Amino acid sequence: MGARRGSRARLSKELLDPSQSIFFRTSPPLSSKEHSQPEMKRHKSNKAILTLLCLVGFFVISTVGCRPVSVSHEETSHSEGAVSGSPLARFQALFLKSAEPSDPDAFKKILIPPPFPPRVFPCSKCHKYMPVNLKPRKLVKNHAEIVLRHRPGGWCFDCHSPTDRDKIRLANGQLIGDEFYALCGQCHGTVYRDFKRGLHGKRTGMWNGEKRQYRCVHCHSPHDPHFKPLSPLPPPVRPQELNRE
Amino acid sequence: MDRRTFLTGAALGLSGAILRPDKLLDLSILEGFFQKHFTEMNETELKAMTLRLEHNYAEKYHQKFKIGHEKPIPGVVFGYGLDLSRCIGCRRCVYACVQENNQSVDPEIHWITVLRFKRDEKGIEFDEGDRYYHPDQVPEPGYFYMPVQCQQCENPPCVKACPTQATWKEPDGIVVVDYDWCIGCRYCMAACPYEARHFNWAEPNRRPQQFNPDTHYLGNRPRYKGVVEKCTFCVQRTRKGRYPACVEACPVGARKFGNLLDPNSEISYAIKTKRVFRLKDNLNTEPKFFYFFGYEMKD
Repeated sequence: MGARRGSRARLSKELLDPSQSIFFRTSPPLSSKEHSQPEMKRHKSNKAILTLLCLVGFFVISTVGCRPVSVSHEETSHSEGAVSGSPLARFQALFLKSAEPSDPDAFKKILIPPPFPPRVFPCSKCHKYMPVNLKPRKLVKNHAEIVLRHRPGGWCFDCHSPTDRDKIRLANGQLIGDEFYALCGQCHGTVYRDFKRGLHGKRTGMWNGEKRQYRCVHCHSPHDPHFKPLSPLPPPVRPQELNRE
Repeated sequence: MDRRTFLTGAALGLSGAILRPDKLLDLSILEGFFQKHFTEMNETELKAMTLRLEHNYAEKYHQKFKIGHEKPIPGVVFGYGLDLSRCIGCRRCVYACVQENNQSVDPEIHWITVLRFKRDEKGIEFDEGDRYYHPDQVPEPGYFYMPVQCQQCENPPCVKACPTQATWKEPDGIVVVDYDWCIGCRYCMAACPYEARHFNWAEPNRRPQQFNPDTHYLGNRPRYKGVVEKCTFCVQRTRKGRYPACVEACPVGARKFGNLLDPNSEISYAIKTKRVFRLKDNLNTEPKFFYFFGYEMKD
C-alpha cells in the first residue's frame, strides 16, 4: 500500500513540475545559456555508452534470464525419488532453489521413557525365584489383566527373554536394552522404515533440531496393539445455536 | 436513539474529551493511526511498535504479553502433511490451536474444522461432510475424518482479494494477516475456497489471564473486534524451530511438519513415498498442505 501511495505521490509531483521527473532527467533543459560545444560532445558519448549498456543488458537478460527455467527442468528430472509432475517436484521448480539437504539422523532425538505400569518393573523381582514355564496357558493368578491379542498363537517368550527376565529378545535370541522399536521392526518392516524417518509415530520439539520421539508402546500396547478409541472433544457451535444479542 | 439523546451524548463526550486532555494527547493513538505497513518498517520502528502494542494489551487484558516479530528463516518454505489413514477425528488439534493462538472462546472461533465423511464410493463430497459429529468414542467404523485448516496456498486467492494489503504471503510460504491494517471487509473470506478465514464478530472473549503471552505480531497476538484471522502454522513457534501446536497435540501422530525445500525433511519424505493429494487442487491455489495416506485404510 505504502509503495503504491509513494509512487502516486511521485507521479503527481512530476505532473506539477516536469523537471523533477525521472522520465525527463536524462536530457538537461535546452534553454540553458551555458550550452557549449564540448558539452554536446559529452552528450553524444553519453548516448553511445547508453546504447552499449542497453545492448549488454539485453545480452545478459537473454542468456541469464532464460537459465533458471532450464535448470529447474534438469533438477526435477534428476532429483531422486521425485516423480516429475508430483507436487513436491512442482514446488521445488517453483522456488528455483534447493536447501541444503539435512541429515535425518543428525538431529538429536530424545526417546521418551516407556510408560510402564507402576510396580511391574523389574520382572526379576518375582521371576528370579520361579521356574521357567514355556508352555502357553491361561494366566489366572498373576498378570490376569494381560490380554494377549497381538498375534494368534503368540506367547510371552516370543519377546521376553526366558533367561534374563528383565530384557526382551529379538527373534535371533539377541537381547536388547532400550531399542524396543527394533523388536517391533522385525515383523512390521515398512512401519519401522517410516518410523525411522519420522513419518510413523509422533515427534515433538523442533522441526529443525532436537526432537522428542515417542515410542511404539506409547500408542500400541505390546500385548494388545490396536490403538484404543478416544472420546472426541466437543463439536463447534452450530450457527443457529449462537448466542445472539 | 433519538436526536435529543444523540446530541446530549455528543456534547457530553466532547466535554469529557476536553476535560481529559491526557487521553486526548495520548500519542500512541496517533502512532497507531499512522503506522506503516509491516513489511516496510525497519527494526527500530518494529521494536517501538511492538512495545506500544505490548503496553496497550497489558492495559486491556491485565496480562503481560511478549509480541515478537521474528523474520522468516532463509531457505525455508513450510509444508504440512496430514495422514488421513491415521486421523481419528478426536479434535485434540482444534482445542490445542485455540489454546495456543488465543482464539475467542465465546463467540467461538476454531481455525481447524474436522469433517467426517462416510466411507463409500463418494469419497470426499463436501456437501456430505459433517463437522458437528459427536459420538462417545472415535474412530467410528465406516467413517473417516479430515481436518481442514488454512492450506497456506502458494497462489492465495485471499491475498488477491484484500483491498488494503493487510494480508500477504511471507517468504517462508505462510499467509499472514496484519490485524492493524485489516478493515474487516471479509472479501478474503469470500475468496478462500477452504473456509480457513474467520471473523471476529466481537472482542476476543477468553477467561481472564488465560491468554498465551508468547505471541507474534503476525500470528497469535489478541485480535480486535472486526478483523479477520487465520492459521499461520503457529508462526510464533515455527520461526523459532518448534513444531506447530496441532502437531504436538495429535495423539496419533497423523500431522507432519517441515521444510519443503529440504529433501530429507519429514514432509518431503511423506510426499515422495506416500499417496498424496491436495484439497481442491483444480483451483490452482497450489496449497502447501498435503493430505496423504500412510497406510491402506482398514475398518
